[in-house]
Amino acid sequence: MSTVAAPQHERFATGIYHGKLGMWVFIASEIMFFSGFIGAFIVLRNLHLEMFAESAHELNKVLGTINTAVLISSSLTMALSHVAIEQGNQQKFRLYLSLTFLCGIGFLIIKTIEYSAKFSHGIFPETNVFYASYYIMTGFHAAHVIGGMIPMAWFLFRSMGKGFPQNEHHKIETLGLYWHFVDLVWIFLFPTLYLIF
Amino acid sequence: MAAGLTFEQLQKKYLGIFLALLVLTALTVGVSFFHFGDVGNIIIGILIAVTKAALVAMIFMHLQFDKAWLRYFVIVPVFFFLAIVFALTVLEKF
Repeated sequence: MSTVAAPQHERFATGIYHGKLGMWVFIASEIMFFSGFIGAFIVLRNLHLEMFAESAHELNKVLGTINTAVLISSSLTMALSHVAIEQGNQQKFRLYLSLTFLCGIGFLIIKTIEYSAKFSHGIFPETNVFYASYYIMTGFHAAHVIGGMIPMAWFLFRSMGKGFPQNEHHKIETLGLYWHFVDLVWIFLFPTLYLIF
Repeated sequence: MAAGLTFEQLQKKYLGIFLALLVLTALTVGVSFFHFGDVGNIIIGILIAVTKAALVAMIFMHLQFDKAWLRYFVIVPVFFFLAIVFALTVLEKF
């Protein structure tokens, strides 16, 4: 039973690994980025109550729920991969990070199925302001998922062969912060778009 | 990472949070099939989402174990968001 070291970084004046601090600054800006869309959504909804309710009921609740579960699972495996690399367990690290990556792919596939179903019914961003909001919010969210998968693929690539350096586990924690944030955005988008109408 | 926790305890904690998030997802989807007045569904949906978000931020994103001031990176932007939404909603009444 090894005890986890307290998060002390004497090298840094702030006591926090600077990559991680930078990620938190970025996340703060990201919260405001998505807040803009959600704020606009609230105002538009109050102007078009009936149309928003009608349009929201056309969304596929089942696929939305599955995607929520997929993202939550990916957050778990992301967190577990950080624990694994902190312990220097390369095998588990690779396994959990690969699973996280696969969940990302799964999420994007399901999102594509949803989009193409809407397209085939002639529903596009210009259909109405609900769908304009829907496409822009879920679209930017999906772009964030892809954005997280790029460094993830890089870290997976680096973990081949000699393995990912254990002393760089903060990079995995920082990537994890971003990934959990993307999950967090979906936690709000899902009820906002699919459930509350 | 988490001060004072063994890796085994930390993994168990993550698993517990994962299960809680799944249960809350099932709950929020289940509740959405019933109608609770004009704003009832919105309030329930937001309450459950905030609970889920708090679990993710505090445990998965380590805010519970990290320096307390890191929490302001969440609190400040959310405060501004709420202020703007509140202002817009109030302005609409005039």
